Amino acid sequence: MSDTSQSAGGGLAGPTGQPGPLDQLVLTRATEPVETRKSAGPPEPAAGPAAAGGALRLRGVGMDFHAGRRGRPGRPGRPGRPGRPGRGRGGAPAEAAVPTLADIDLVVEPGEFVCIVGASGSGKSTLLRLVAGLLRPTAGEVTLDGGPVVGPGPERGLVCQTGALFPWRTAAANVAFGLELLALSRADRSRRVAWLLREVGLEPYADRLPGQLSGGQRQRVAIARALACEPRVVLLDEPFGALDVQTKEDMQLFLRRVWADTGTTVLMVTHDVEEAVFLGQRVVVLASDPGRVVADIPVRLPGDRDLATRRDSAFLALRSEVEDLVRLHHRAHARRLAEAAG
Amino acid sequence: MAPAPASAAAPAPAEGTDRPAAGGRDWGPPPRRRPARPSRLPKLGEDVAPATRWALRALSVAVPLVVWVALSASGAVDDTFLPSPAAVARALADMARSGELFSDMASSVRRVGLGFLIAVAISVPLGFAMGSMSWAQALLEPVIGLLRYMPASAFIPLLIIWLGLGESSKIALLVIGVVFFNTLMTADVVRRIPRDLLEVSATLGARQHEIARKVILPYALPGMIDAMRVNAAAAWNFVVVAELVAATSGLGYRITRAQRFLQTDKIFAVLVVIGVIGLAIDILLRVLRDQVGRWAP
Ligand SMILES: Nc1ncnc2c1ncn2[C@@H]1O[C@H](COP(=O)(O)OP(=O)(O)OP(=O)(O)O)[C@@H](O)[C@H]1O
Ligand SMILES: [Mg+2]
Repeated sequence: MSDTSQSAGGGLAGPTGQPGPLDQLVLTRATEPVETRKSAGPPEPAAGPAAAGGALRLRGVGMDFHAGRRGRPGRPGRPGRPGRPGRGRGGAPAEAAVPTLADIDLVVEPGEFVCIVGASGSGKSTLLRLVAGLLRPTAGEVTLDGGPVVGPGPERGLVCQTGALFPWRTAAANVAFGLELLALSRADRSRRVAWLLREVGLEPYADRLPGQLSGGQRQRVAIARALACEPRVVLLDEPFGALDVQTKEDMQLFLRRVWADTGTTVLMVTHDVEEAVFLGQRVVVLASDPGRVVADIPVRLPGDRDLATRRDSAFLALRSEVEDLVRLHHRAHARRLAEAAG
Repeated sequence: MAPAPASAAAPAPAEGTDRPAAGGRDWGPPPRRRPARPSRLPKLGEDVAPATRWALRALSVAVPLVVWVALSASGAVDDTFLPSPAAVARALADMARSGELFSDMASSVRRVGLGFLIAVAISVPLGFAMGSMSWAQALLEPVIGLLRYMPASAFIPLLIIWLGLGESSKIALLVIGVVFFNTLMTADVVRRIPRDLLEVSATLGARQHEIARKVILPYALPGMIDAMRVNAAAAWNFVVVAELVAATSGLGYRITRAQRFLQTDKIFAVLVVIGVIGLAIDILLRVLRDQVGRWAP
């Protein structure tokens, strides 16, 4: 199949009516090889029409969970009906509200790569689920390119720690899931899937079921699946948490490359500070109880990072700085807990 | 906290080691168990060799058969109560020759087929709704949970009053016997879908009906077929019950006829046929399940 012949047909129009980023992606791939972004430090604004990333804005976002509601934690709102935790309005009086996130202000520029770090329980996943639209904030608002986020949608792709692949679908079929919901010809769809599988290096495994893939391969399928609909923002929740050091390194380089290739905005949660500093253009530090932003640190490292970057003194200094911050807030939180316990 | 023994409470590491002091632990080491004796039996959850498996399968049929042969050959039991396998085979051949076996099989299988299909057509959508929508669960679970405990056989007199002695009362009995169980079992399977699959589908842009069709259904299908397998056996039981009570054809009817003339060999022959047909249905559904659920462990 010739990839260069024609690629603009059947283009995916974004909800705003502009031509979606898919076409550009296909063209980029056809005309030039992997191109590494040269940006360093603070993000540049959208770089012309090639930038597919969306601008994410969280304004005064707060999230309260309600302890012991129906004894089913972790079920506030089904996917289709996000939010409404605790039946706050009317009805039975809600149980004590536990503020989990408070007053989060965060701006992610188009095409930016931002990492969120913080101790366990600081609300990182909750923050990501708010952006994904799986939860609705109890205060403030989340907007993407100016439009409010009211529910989950393909313009905000999510990759979670477990991968959450459809076990009955092959790798290729998993990647194709989002595309099957769109008006795309079968040929067009399979071309996109093939490109994505090549991008994540899983072409030989296209017909394997998730159960026959390794953890890292599964994670790559999950990333490819999230990228298939060409989201304006990709949300990653500790995507490499369960991987060994080697695989993790490969995956990090791979993620940087995908980000450079697609120009999408990336918001990634991790508890690995080194990973955050290595990958991100900015590292946001969350502190617990309630989850809040305590630092927002620009990463002034060269745009094309490789394994040597990790030995760079600037990198090491930054890494220690962020680690100290996380540790400081973690200790303070532990102390507060101990005092509260008496 | 209870005062710790002096040795454990000492904050300094034990002499000669760099192990930190156990903070506040005032108990000794847990007791040790002697190691398990090595065993030649296969471990729990372990597969046995295929040859062993087939041998065990053969044994599972052969042993009752041998007991049967021995019992009837020893003369300990009267032939009228326990006919010999040979007599049963003869009865079977007779019935096959006269054609009544096949017409009986046909009418029973037709009833099971129709009744089971109706039951599945009702219970799968209901169970799917109950498993995936909590309002449907709240609405249906109490009434179905109640109806499930009413023995289907107890409905026979009612059904005969309502629907007469014809086909419809038998099929209705079958439906009543199967539909509630299958609904609840289907709902259980559907409810087990992992939440992250639903969430991730929504973030990939799937609407509610697409999630139902493209995520919940394929996930639940193997389990739903498993439920059907269990309930197909029940359906097969109920058709015989229905035919025992009132029928002019069918395998259950053949049993009542044979009873009237004390033809126990014929009863045995029909029972064997019923068992074999049931087994065939089960194998069929199992093959289907294995096809559909190749991804499931
Ligand atoms: N559905 C829920 N209902 C009630 N409380 C919740 C719910 N989800 C999360 N929480 C609480 O909110 C806090 C933040 O949880 P979250 O999962 O966002 O943490 P996290 O930063 O992702 O931690 P980790 O690094 O361990 O994944 C925790 O204290 C958690 O117990
Ligand atoms: Mg988390």
